[in-house]
Amino acid sequence: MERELQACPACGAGIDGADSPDVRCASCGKTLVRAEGKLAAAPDGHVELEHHDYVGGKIGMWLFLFTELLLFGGMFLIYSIYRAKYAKEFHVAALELNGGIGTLNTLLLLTSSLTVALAIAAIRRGRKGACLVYLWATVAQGVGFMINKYFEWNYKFHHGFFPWKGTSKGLGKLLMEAKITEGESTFYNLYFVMTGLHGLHVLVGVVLLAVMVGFVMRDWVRKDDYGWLENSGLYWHLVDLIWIFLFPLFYLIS
Amino acid sequence: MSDGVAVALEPPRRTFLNHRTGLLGWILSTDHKRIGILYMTSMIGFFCLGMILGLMIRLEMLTPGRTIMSGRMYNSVFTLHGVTMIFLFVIPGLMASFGNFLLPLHIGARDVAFPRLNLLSWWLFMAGGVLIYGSLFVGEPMDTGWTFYAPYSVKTAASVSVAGLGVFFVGFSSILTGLNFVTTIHRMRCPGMTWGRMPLMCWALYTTGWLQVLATPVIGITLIMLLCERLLGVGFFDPSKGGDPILFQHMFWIYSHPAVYIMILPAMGAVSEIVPVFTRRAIYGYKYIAGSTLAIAIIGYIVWGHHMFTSGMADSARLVFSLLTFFVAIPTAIKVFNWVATMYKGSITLEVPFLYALAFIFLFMIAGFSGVVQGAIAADIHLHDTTYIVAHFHYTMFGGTGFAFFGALHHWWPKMFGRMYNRKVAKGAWLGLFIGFNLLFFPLFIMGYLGMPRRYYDYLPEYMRWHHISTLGSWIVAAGFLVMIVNLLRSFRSGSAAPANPWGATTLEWTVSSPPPVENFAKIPHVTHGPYHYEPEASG
Amino acid sequence: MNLAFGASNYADRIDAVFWGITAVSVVLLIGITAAMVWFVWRYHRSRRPRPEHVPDSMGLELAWTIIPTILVMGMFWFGWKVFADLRKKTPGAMVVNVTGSQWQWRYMYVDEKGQRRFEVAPDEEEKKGETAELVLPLNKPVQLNLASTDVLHSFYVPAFRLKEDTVPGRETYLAFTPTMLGVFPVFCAEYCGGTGTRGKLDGHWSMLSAVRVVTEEEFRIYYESNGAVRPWRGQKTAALEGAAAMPRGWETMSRQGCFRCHTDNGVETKDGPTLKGIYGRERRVVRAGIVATVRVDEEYLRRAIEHPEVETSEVYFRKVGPMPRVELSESDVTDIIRYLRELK
Repeated sequence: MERELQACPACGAGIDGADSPDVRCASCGKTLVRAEGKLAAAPDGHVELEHHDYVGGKIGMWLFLFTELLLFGGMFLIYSIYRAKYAKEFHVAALELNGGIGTLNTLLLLTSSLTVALAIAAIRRGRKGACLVYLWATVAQGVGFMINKYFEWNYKFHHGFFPWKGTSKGLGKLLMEAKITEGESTFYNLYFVMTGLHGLHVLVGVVLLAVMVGFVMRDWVRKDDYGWLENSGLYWHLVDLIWIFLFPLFYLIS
Repeated sequence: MSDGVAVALEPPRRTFLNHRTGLLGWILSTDHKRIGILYMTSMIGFFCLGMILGLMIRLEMLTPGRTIMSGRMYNSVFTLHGVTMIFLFVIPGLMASFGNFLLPLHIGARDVAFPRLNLLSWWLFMAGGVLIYGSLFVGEPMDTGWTFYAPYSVKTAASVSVAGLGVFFVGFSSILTGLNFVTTIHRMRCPGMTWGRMPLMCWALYTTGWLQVLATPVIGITLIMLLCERLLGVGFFDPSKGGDPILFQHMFWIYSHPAVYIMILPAMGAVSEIVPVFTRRAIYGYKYIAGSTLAIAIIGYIVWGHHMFTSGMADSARLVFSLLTFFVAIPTAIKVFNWVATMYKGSITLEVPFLYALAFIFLFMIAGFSGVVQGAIAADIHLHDTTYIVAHFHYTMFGGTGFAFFGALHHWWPKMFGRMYNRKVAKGAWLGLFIGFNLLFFPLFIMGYLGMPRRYYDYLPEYMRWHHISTLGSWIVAAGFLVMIVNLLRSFRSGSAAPANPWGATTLEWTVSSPPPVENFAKIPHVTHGPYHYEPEASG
Repeated sequence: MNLAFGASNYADRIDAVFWGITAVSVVLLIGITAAMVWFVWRYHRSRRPRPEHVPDSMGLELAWTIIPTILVMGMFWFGWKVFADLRKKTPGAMVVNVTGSQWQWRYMYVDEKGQRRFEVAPDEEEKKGETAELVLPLNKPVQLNLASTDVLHSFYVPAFRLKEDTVPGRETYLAFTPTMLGVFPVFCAEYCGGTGTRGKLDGHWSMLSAVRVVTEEEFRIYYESNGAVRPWRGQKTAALEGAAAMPRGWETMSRQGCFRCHTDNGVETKDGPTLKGIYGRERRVVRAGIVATVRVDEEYLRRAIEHPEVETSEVYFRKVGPMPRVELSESDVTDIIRYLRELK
């Protein structure tokens, strides 16, 4: 892989001129900033080195997202195996799910993906105010998603599809008592566990983005250093992406 | 070679060991060297616990029927032995301990890509360890075997959930280490450190990193589902609720077979480091060893079904998995051939690390050959779930990873702590471990062929003499281990100071003083040749 | 007990795979180890102070890639061939349903239509003072249908070199032919827990059972008596000497299914008294609702066989009522009475 090579202004060693706002000189460890295509030494003590390898951070984040995909991949695998086994029951059970709420949530997440992308675009142009507005919008949509989820699950609980109350071995037991077939009960098991796990990820994403709001306000995330925000955005896109798969698998197969 | 004597007195140097003191200075340090040593010491601690449990198992097996404990307790003891040794010793293995210490030194960097994440993975690892052992105090001790097979693991009253959560934490820690190392190798190699000039240890760490990233999430989700099944009563694996127990085995082994290579690849990397040093030769077939590392990882990812030849899965699946299993033997053979070829026309010294490397090669060959026997599906029908399997994986995990770990310990001890150990005593300990190990585990091959199933508390008297030999071996192993550890620890008091390069090795970690300075390299090196530069006249 | 016996039609072939691959492995292991030791000695620094450069050789690398590949492909084929055969079911094989549960094996013999004939279960056998074993005929193809009622188990007969997991919720099988007379241990090979509280049947390790391979004739007697008669026992029946020496009375009884309820070995079943030593004994019987004591003689036996509803043993009258009547010729009855006189 050929890369553009530049000299470090501090010690003269060759540097990988990766396409990133911040570069670190491997020899002297100085952090360099790119100004008009040339590298210049950043003020001392300005940033800690290892946390500002922009490309490295990206690689790490993508690897992490990959593990998340595999985590859900395992569930999708289980889903497909049981769907093949209980094709008919899955159709019947899916009728019980509220397509309206599902669609609303899909719209919320899709829009929130857009707003988080806009927030990143805004900070790259240095528009801190706009970035904050978009971030708040994203967080709000995430919270909206969770509220919807709460009502949806609550409705199910009331109809006896989920039995927390009283018994510790509830779900399976109640599903049995509700005279639901094995296949349908497997469908609900998968539904609760998969959307539950996804909901947990939404929660983490919302917290992460809320933290990013703080970072932007304190200028820890700014025009020339937005790695954190970008990686949080990536995480949010992943949350969205997983939902895009979950939605048809549970709501649209009836 | 210098024997580590006669090092001129100089004022105390600032090293990574003495620049900060106190417990907090260690457990909150983001220095990769300190984290490596944190891992190393905690793993040796867990190894000691696991070893005590192992000794208890062997003692119980001394006679048929009850010897020292009840059957229920025996189940918990072998479960805890397995969980400890697998998840708290060999999975982090040489990757987290020596890998952490060496990787930045090997590639000429000052630290890994994400030092704080690195510390977090150690904390997660310890949290996992605490949860696993903590589960002993909440309800009955777990008794599922380390494989957590459903539906038994769903039905047992023992505290599987807490321990399962502990394993989940360890898995998370493993993922973070993996992605950290992969990023480090991509981003932080010093100038001139091309892929082809990396020490083979780095190739092993790189491959292992990918395996951890690709495989560990699967066990994560499997454990989450198992926990849901136990706590919420959903039915993924319990057939009485419409689940499928064989599905659990698939999910479990999709992770746990690649995990076998997570355990062994860094060990092979360490051996690939040790062999050239003591033969004074560039490793034979660098490209082929590096390539076979990748090949093992790739093939190893798709052979999990050979753990299930008698599970009742479809016969066609058994065919495919048997075929693939044989393919994984080939890159392993390539490694062995190249190591042996490296000794050809070398200039060999039988230093302690090299003795461990030789033992590794020999024991790992036995492990590999017994693996090939089981890969033949007809033979596995007989051998599966007997002590033959137990012998096989102890030859890989202990004879392989364990011996490589001890070898690495003796190889890099002077670098880590700046002290030389007593080599005569170390060789004695090696001999004890080697002989004891074979006495301990070879009889299990024989008993396995004679039909002794594994995880048996009681057995037919016909097997007794083999059990006697095995138990005797366990005591010799324990004695050897004890001598080894005491000898190493004594070096702090009576060992001579180690020079920067006591073995005359050529990789970058030996160019800095022992122990290394905090920042590793005063000036980032510029690499102009391959890692095993013993024959300058021949280097191209 | 010699545990190395190979006692099924696949045992020798599985052993051949095992020993064949092991032999190749040992040769390679010794070869490589010898090379390693030789190098360490020959190229020790005391003999060779400076290393010599040996260039990498593509040819050599290819050689030790391709040769092992061919070798292991051969091993795979070898192992697969045998396995493919041993998964084949033989049509018309005798079927026994084997059920694993925590912590015992139960064997249910079924007839050609798959209907239950009789079952052998450890707890019930124990009450009778027997041990539960799976009795199989020599040189006859057998199919074991394996099932589990709770968790995973694995039915393992080392002498047959065969095992297969029993999985709750699905049926697995083993199909083979026993080729050696004898008693061989059966283990559970898939860990299934254990409490250590139930005495004998308290864990994975105590799912210990046995397969008894008997001659075809012995098996026929065992099977037709629904497991009541065990001719290999050296019992008073002439079963041991084979059918030729068997008194005709025993044969008749066996054919008529008398041994479904009665035994000839002193064991009382829940359905009928044992016939061992019955001749000449005093018995309390119910005759027209009144309990009376009679001596068992030829007269009584003839009455009891021809008109069982008239007099019934007091104990069994309460339990199961009178014995059902069986149509027998005069000579059959005489044979039976003669046989019972001798059954001491």
